[in-house]
Amino acid sequence: MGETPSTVVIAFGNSLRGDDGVGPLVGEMIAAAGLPHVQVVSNIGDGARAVEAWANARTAYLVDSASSGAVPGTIHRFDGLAEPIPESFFRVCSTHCFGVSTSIELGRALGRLPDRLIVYGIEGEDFSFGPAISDCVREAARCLVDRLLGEWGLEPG
Amino acid sequence: MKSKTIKVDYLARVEGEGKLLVKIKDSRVTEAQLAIFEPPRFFEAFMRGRHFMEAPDITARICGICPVAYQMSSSYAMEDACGATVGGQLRALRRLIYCGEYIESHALHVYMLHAPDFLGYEDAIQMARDHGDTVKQGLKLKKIGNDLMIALGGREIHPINTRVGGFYKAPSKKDLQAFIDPLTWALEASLATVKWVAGFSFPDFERDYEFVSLRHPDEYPFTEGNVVSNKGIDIPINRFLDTFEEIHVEHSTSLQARVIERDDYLAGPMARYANNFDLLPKVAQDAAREAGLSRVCRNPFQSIIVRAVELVFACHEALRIIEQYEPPDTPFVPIEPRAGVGHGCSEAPRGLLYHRYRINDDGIIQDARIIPPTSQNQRAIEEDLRLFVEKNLHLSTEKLTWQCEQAVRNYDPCISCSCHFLDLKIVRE
Repeated sequence: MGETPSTVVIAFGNSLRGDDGVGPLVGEMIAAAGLPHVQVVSNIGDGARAVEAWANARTAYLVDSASSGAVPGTIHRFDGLAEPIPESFFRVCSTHCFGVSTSIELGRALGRLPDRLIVYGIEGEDFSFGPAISDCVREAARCLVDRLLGEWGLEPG
Repeated sequence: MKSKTIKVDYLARVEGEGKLLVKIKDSRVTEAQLAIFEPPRFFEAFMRGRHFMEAPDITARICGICPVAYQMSSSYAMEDACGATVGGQLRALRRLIYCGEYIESHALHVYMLHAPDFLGYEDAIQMARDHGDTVKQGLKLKKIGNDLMIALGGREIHPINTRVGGFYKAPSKKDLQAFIDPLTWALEASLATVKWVAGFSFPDFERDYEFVSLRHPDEYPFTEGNVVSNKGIDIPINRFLDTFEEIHVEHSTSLQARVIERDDYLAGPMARYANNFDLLPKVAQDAAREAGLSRVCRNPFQSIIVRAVELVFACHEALRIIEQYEPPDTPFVPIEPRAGVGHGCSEAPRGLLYHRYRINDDGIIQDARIIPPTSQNQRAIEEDLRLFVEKNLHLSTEKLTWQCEQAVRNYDPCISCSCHFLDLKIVRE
């Protein structure tokens, strides 16, 4: 059994709902970098699993599509420990699943949050059925991955 | 004449979009409507022209919380149409993935959606601040159910490994043995859950329901058996449409089911429990008795205890299956299509889920009919509300509103399945 990765990237979203697939796309790109200290948990549809996923990590990054009315491709960044995440940014289409905001609040209520929790939202444009991701959203995903690799002291790909 | 209006714009912890309207005039409830305005989803229409093998994957998309139910009902229906039977370890694996769905769905509803009602919290997050260890226990239980679904189905939401005829890939013995310790913990946690919820205080309310569920001669039902009721129904699954009908009511985009020439009936945990108590394992029966439940529970608010008893059952059943598991020679039975009609019925966590398909010689679906549990329970929900409000008119509007919302959540309704969010309005005239 390898050492527990100190960083976890938790990618929310549905790869079959257009730009909602940007979370899993970022997850896929980071996983492809093969970083031993970074674990990627992708295709999270239920935030209850996120609370479990960050349980043993020191730093957690949550990545999801956002729908706030900003320009598509905009990268939003929140410090999940500093303040509640506005629910209007991250849509949840079911009461049987927790979204980004609820999972963080649940973790906070349970005293189960990592030392550092950063939330990235990439503003989506088109959430219709199918795997296609808008060009500007895909470009934003690349920028975010480069930013994270840079933050971890690695050369962007 | 005194007039009063209570409006709740967002009734949380219920899946789907709809609203509730209760009108009271001269101490009588004149209307109790569960008005569903979620747009129709047309699944049955777009099943036409698709290949019979696609049915489990397409219909699973109807629901993110009970996809296994849709996969099982559709698979059984297609196998019925093609004259095929899936038995042995493949059948056992189907029951096992259903156990995963029960553990995940019931744990979510008991701990996160329904318990806050009884403890006076708006939601599970508020409850978690005061009952952190309890919520952690619920989440851990739910995760074990999800993990079981992933192990067998490839992923927890809309599994991809089940198919008409069985599975695309069967798990190894080792894959399943990894669940023995977690499920042993889950069984104990479920027993503790029964004790915990049995200590809640319940409104004094009972109804003489017609309980409709599957009943199998040898086992607590998931996927096979006759459709039975405590009021005389005992029919094979293929006679479902001779016994039950769906009607359209103006206030709902979802059809409402009823027993032909009778009326509303109740499907779900309380119905399964009432019709199959003798088939529960002793550990679940004992837990129910210790919780003060008799063999039949008629108080819908106590459905939370029955769900907890079914959690005990699901953990016990999962352990039994895993302990007896031997990997099958092939992960599926090959099914050749033939023209015909097939019926499938399985017990989704929320109740009976009926599927009927007609396919042609090439296995192309000619027509489809799906009757989900929440459309079967809509009339029972409305009748519960009518009788409950009439009996409790002395309560303050605030308390009555709270308990009406709770009465809807007794059913863990999935409005999305039946055709999202509820808007509750009580009008006192």
